[in-house]
Amino acid sequence: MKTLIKISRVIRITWSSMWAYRMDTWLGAFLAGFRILLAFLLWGAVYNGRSEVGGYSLPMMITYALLSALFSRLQHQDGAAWQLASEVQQGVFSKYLTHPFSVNGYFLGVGLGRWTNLLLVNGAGMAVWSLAFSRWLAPLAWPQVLWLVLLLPLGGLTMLLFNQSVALLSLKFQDVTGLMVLKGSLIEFFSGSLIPLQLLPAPVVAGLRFTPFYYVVFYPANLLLGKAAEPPWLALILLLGWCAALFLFCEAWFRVSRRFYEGVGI
Amino acid sequence: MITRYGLILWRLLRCRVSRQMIYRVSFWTAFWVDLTYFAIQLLTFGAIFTQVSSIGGWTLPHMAIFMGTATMLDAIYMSTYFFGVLAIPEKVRTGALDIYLTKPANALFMVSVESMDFGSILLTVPGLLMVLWGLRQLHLELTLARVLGYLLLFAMMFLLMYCLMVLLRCPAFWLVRANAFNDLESTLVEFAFRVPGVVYQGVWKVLLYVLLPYGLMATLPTQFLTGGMSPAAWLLAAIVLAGFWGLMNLIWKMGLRRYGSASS
Repeated sequence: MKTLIKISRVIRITWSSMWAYRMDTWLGAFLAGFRILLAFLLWGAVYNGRSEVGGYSLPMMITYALLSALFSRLQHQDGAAWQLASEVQQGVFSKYLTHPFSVNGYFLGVGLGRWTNLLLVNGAGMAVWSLAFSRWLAPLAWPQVLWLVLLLPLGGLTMLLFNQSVALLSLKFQDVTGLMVLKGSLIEFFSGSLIPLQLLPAPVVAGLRFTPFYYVVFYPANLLLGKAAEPPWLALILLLGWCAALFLFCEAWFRVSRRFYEGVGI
Repeated sequence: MITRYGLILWRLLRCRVSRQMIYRVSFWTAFWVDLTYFAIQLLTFGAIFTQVSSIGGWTLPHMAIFMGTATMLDAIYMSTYFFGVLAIPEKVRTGALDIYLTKPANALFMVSVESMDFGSILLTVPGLLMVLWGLRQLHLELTLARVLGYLLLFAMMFLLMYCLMVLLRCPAFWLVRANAFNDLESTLVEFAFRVPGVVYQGVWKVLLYVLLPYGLMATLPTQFLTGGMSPAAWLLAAIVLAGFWGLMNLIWKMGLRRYGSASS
């Protein structure tokens, strides 16, 4: 209970710090819509009279682009992980060791604060863009929205823990900048943010079904389009499993690797 | 003046290479990151071309030249001014720009080239191979005029990219934080290197060829190599580059007048 109260305080502080740059936040949410605009141009040229590509009609593909732009902005945010990695590298990570709160809990709180803030701001931004593109969008399977209420936050938490696992490697290897950037590019592709995973070869898609990336962008977007191949409860169980595994890894790795850390005041 | 700046560039180049060779792992980081980006590009278009035979009239060999050109452009600008220009907002915010203003050289030039990182330069090799493969598939001969024209257009697009990068960093003089412009730029660059300009029509063509000319970047050199570039396109490229070069200098100077510095 005490831990949850502490996490909620960290979330509140993160919200305050994010609202300090309101202009930047809103501008970011609005400009994210450019992605949809450009996807609209690309897919318009790819379809060029074709009724279907990879099982998607053009309105479905535009809707997929809109949904994946929103979901990837939420699920791929790794600001907290970058903060952790850079503070370890600069040697200023020591301050967290003196806090009366677990390091993993603190950064999880920061990540959740960012996630909820982005959900609100980008959700509003995307609603505006949806209105602008409404005549080109496919109808959504609205009953599935209830599943998204569970799947999206769980997917967000899984990705936060995954990013944190990579960032914590900095305690041993110090500079993980390259790894962080690589991770970002690979996840973007394998989560279906660039193109629907359906367009990839079947064995690749089959392999991706066992990873959490499949369920953070591609799956929720397909669920709303009524094209999801797996039942939502299976996605939920897989994400819960990944969440638990990554949390245990973060805790165990932190205990092992904190003694490698050589920072200011140590 | 050209000799003087050439000398500065040469000295900076030597310093940066010596410094980067101390941290060899970091030197290769940029290369691996860019190589992954390149592989993702290939996978993305490979997946799309399994479903369709052309995009905007361009077939796979055209797209190979387009992506090869984009990869080389990306590698060269990442190696030269990318990291320097990227750091401008932070330098403005913290007042670290002061040091560049006191140096007896153009501040924008100094800040742009001081963080050269050559890790990405090796990526020009796969980029070039893709261009050559595309030319071979299209049965196009590599004449001297073709090579020179391509190189000239490539250099023009390299400079145009620089103007756009600087212009999108200049709001930092007026706003405390302007990360939103970074996101906008990365989206536009991503698409400029992924979506050939030939797909833009009407108002989108005006937007992405003239107002935010990311649509020109890899498209014009590809069009020139494959023989689909008109004299009007040369004129457009020259006018857009001259216009953005002037605008960049104007906004930069206005920004410097607004700059508060660390000690004021």
